[in-house]
Amino acid sequence: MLTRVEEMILLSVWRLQDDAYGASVRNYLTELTGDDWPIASIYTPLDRLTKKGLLRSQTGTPTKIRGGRSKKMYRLTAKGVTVLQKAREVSTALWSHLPDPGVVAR
Amino acid sequence: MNHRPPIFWSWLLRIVLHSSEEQYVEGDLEETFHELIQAYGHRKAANWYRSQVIRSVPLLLFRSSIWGIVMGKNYLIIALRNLKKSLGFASINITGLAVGLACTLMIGLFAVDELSYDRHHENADQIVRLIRTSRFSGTEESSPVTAGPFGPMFTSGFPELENFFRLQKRRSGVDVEAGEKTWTEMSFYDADASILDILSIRMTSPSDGNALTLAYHLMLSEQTARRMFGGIDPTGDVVRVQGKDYVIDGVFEDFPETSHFKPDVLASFETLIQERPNQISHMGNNFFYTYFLLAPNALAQDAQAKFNGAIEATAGPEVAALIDFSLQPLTDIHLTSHYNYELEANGSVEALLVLGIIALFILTLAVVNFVNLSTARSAARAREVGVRKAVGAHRQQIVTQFLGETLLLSTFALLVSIVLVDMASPVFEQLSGRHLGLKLLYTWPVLLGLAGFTLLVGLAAGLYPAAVLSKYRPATVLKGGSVRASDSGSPLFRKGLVVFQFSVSMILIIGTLMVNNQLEYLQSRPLGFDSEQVLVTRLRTPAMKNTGRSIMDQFEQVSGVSGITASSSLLGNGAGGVLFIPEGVERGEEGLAMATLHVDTDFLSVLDVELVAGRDFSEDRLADMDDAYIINRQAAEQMGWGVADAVGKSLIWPTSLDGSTPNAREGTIVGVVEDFHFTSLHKLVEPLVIVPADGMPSYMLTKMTSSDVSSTMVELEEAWSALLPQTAFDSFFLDDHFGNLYTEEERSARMFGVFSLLAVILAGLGLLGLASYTTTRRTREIGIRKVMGATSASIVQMLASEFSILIGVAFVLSVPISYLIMDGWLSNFPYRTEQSFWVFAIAGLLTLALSLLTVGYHSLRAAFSNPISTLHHD
Repeated sequence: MLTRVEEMILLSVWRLQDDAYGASVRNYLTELTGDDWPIASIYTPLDRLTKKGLLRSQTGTPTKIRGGRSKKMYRLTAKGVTVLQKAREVSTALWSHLPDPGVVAR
Repeated sequence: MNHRPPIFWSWLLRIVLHSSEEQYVEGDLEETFHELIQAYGHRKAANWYRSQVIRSVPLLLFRSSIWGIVMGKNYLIIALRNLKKSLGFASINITGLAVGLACTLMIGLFAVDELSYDRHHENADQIVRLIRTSRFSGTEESSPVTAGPFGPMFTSGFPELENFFRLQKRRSGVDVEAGEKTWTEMSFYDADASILDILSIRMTSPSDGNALTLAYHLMLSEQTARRMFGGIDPTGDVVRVQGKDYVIDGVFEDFPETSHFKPDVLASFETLIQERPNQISHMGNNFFYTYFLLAPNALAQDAQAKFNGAIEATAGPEVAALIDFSLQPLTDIHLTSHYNYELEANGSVEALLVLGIIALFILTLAVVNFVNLSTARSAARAREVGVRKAVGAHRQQIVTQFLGETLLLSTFALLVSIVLVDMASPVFEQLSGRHLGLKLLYTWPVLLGLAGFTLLVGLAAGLYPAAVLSKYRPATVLKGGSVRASDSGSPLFRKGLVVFQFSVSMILIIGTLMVNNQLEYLQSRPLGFDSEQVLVTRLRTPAMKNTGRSIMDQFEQVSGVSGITASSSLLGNGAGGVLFIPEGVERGEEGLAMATLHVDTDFLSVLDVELVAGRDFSEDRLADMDDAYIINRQAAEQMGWGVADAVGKSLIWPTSLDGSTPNAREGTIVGVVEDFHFTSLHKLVEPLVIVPADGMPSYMLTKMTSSDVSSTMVELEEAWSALLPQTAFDSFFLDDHFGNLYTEEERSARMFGVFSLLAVILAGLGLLGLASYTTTRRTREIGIRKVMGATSASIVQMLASEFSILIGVAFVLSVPISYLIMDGWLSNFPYRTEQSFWVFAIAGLLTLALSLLTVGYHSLRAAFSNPISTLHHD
């Protein structure tokens, strides 16, 4: 099972294609959600997803703006895509045929 | 423009990331950081970076593999859960230790900074300063100011000395003109060109190697050059100093903060040789500081032993008997040298030692607290230990768990303390008035040392509870649900720790109060003259002195001015000493060195100095010019006459003791004044001779009796600029000046205040821990007491009295100790307050009140608890 954050990160990597690495994923999610995500909260799931085989990582080229440090680039694996599609199915199923929420006033 | 992320935070990140393969995290942050600079500017970006690091550190720490080595990840998870469960306790514990560590760190950095003075010179160990000891009239005076010939003479005479340079500090406030503008330079030095070879002075502009070799050449410090010429290299330009043109030879890098002198301007010594050749070659003109470079492997003592012989050979045995030389290592000057005429105010070993002891105390307090609180806390977890053991945990595993938890706490505390030091250092620098070498903190040896120390504290704090708790037999713990007092370690041990903490706190409180008392005493003791509303104006230049008389006449017309006079020295700073021959003493015998003050005729009346015998100087300036003296009571007594008989006695101011040259002045004592403080209260009033001034003395004293001082000041300023339009009217009030003499004491008072506050807070935290421990342990006892009919009040009393006894013991211990310490400190002052009883009483009551407040909460809660809820298990 994917957590919500893992799902969001996988989808971001998918969306960012060849440009998916820590900072770009963080910026993308920050832009999207409006929260300033701590960089560590991106890397912890990224590592976990890589270990699970849903992502593949690869060292990129160092650039000057990064103080000469290289990037760690991520690509979605076939397994990652399958898991994402499954998650979507579950999500759609959960969201369909919902009755009126019947919100209770506090 | 600064393109680097905040140093501390990127450093912290690197530490946490720990392995080099994770550098991409750093890179990611730096990349976004730069994008943010483009979009929002550096400040916003730096703030963002900081918040990113702060929020990421816990997660990254968790990921980091350090924990794999120190402890299993499982232990870490349990430890973190436990911390989370008792967040209040954990934060008290972390704060306490962090504050203690931060104090110690800051004092440590301060100490390292003080110890590193002048060590940046490559040859620091081979450089020495010449100290002259002169003997006359039975007294000995040592000073770093020496005459000109000794540098070259000793260097050419002894193989131990390889090179020398002489240094002269021009009297403060030399005006340097560059083009239209004028700057007043406070550290203007004349120095031999060899200073550039002996000290490691880096030049920022290329020099042709002949810097400072010619007369009327000088060099500027980087800062001074920037101030005068902006970014342009001034090498080769000309500036005007005291009416002469000087060529700028180059610019040198600013001397670091840790130098015992920090010149803004270095002028060539050749200038002095050309201007005053006789003064430089005279053996009795002590104006210069002489430094030597020792030859490789030569010892200072070897050279020192030969000095006297050399002087005897050149100047004869009479001179050699009066004068002696020694060599002082350059690196010792800042901390240990406290002669008259030091170049700048030096630090003191004693102050450093006191601070060190305070740091040690505070650290001990913090560590004791940490141990105490951890122990108290873990006793409440006996049941958890019982369950763990019952399901098969080994004692070893439980010990590891407790150790891991305290290690985690101490690690957090270390991180917090570094952040605290980073934030509090400006405050500390302001408090101490000194520089703090913060860069040093971020060097590997220091950080490794700190990490090691934290490990040690964590282990020490964890070991005791771990050992005690892991001993529990699950059956007893689980059956009873509580631990018997005898099982949970010695209560005497914990009580002893509390007594220790409160003794230290009380000693510090007493110290603070006493230092403040003494300060107040120094500032409020009558000086023997009226220092209020007296405006001091220093006439710095010959031009100002020449106009002095006209200014005084103009000032006297200003409404609100009640009198005006002048003196040769600034009251509060002492006065120069001169040898006198009193009546009844034969020529060639011993004279008496007395301070002399050259004053304008109205001096006594304007400053309201009390005349105890004889008369004041005559209103007619010329009448007493040649032969009248007024002395103070001290002088009258030291010359053996007493106040009454002194008037009418003669006093000779000779130029030489043997009478071979005409006397400078031969006169009669016309009056005796009551002792007044012309030096700071750090010194007893010395014998003083007041002489009518020949020319215009340097310090003009304007006495006001005005209800509107500011409008009088405006009028004075107008009168001044009418006569001296080019120079600013620069003046200050005499009583302010006297207040400023005690800045060192004010600093001690403030430092003492801050540190004792911290100590009290730490002790309070410790007590809180102990109180919560005792009351939880005694819940059942209290329940039973209540069932048996004890009232809530009697229970509070029972609990409070136990702590009051501890405070009482601490009080009894701390009173004699602090009395002795403060007695030692006070004995440095000739004028001092008594150690009054109420200081001790206040310290005791304050501590008692604080502890009752701390204990009170827990006692009340225990006392008012319903016995049913505490006893229903049984």
